[in-house]
Amino acid sequence: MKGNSKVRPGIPNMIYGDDKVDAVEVINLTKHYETVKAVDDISFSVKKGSICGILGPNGSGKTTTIKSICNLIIPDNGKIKICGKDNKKSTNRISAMFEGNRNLYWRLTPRENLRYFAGIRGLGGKRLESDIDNLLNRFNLTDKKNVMVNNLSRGMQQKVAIAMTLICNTDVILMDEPTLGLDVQSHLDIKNILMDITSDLNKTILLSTHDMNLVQAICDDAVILNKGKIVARDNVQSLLNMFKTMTYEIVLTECITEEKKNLLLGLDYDFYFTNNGSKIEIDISDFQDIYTIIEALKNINILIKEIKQKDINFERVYLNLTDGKVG
Amino acid sequence: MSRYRFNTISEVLYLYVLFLAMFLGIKSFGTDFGISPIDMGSNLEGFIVGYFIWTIMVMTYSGVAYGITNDAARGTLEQLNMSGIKLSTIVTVRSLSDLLINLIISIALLFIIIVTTNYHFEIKIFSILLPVFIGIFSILGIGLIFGGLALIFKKIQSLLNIVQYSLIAFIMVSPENKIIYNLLPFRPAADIVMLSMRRGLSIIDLSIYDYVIMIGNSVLYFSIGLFIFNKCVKLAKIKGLLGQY
Repeated sequence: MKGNSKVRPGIPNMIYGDDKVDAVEVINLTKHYETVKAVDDISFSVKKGSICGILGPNGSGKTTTIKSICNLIIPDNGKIKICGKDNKKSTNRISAMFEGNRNLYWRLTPRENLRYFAGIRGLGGKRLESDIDNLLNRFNLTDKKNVMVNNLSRGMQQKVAIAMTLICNTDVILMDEPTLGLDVQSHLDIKNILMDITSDLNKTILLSTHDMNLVQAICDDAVILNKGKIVARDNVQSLLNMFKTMTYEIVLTECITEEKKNLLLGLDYDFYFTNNGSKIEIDISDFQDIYTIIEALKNINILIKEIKQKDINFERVYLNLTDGKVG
Repeated sequence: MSRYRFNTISEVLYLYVLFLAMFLGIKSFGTDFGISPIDMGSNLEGFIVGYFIWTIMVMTYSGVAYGITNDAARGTLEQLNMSGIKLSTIVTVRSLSDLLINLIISIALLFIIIVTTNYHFEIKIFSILLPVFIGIFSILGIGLIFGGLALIFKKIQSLLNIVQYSLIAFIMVSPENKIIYNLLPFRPAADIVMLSMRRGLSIIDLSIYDYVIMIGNSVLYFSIGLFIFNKCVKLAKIKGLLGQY
């Protein structure tokens, strides 16, 4: 056995192989559905023990990419490797939860679901029972372990689904919209759980979501897809830094009219009007551009109250990279 | 079974009411046409045993076909497919374990029917169970075919229902051609069960030929079912349909 062998209390033992090999490698992946090109020759890799966000508007090829990695879709071309091995021969190294709570048997309890999904992966015995207890305890589900899943709240169902991916004891976990439809508290709980999984358990997570705050909070890297192609693939912080110095917020003394908005939009900048048109957010590529914009506002008799550099969030990065089309 | 107590009771009630409707219909039809009580008794006896066999067939077939559509609808099909075990293997093993429960339900139903109709049969449990276990793979095969089609075409409940009631034809028709007779799914095993219950046939009375026919019939339909199901799974993966519903 190469590499680390890590045993932590309260969770299934995870054994990593060669740490130099990427957890996931997608090489020249292409997939058509009849005449539609869903994924167009994309390649990326995900480091072991990291969280990588796979993002993009609806129809960008996210689901096709994710399901291809899980061997649920057979691509037209390309290779996918999980920990260095072909994904068709590595199904026991990847587990997934799709579309939030759609992964569980609703008429079984959390304990029965975990036992069943571990069982079909060949896990069993006393060790499994104690792993299930520990996971349920870790996710604050111990008092619900014998309640049928359909009687649990959506947040609890999401937790059970995440626990299900963990009990399978795989190297790579794929999560599709884990926070979809959750209230604030459940959202926070899931976010903390996901952070724990990578920091404590050293699992590799591929996260597909529209929740940019979650991406910014927990992802190390991001792959942003649009129209079947990768438009950005980098460290989340690098992507934030790339856009940070270019975003300004201009607070106006009055709300801008539609006519004046159209005049501004005639300029070749990306304007975002907020607060009923009393605030403008602007992305610029050169600092000198801010003077051009001030001049333009002056020319249409709009007075400026304040100009400040805005802390960019990942949502803005995403919108910039995907032409503002949020799914 | 206890968790789905209401559903189990409803299922038994439904099958019982359906039986009663058919039984009384046949009885009244026979009386109207002046069929002799001996012939009538023999026909009704055959009908009761046939109905018992049909309930086993229907529950097994439904378990496979509807099990797959339900898994696709609730999103567990993807999980099963990622387990590293072939989907067809999981479906088959699950159906065989369901068969044990279905047999309990069918036998309970048979006893209710016997008490209600006052027709009595010699029930040698092993002589019923052995041919059922050997022959049921042909029905599993048919279930796999339609389960596979459900993966591709999704909403095929109407077709599944039609097939469910068409299964009765496999027990009722009596083709003179021996080859056609032996090729009807589950028919050789069903006839052994029929003979066991009506004529007291025991499994030790069966010849090697009987076993070869029963096993051959099962292997044929199960292999076809497995082949088509695996092809459907592959096609669903190519078209990106697996798990969509």
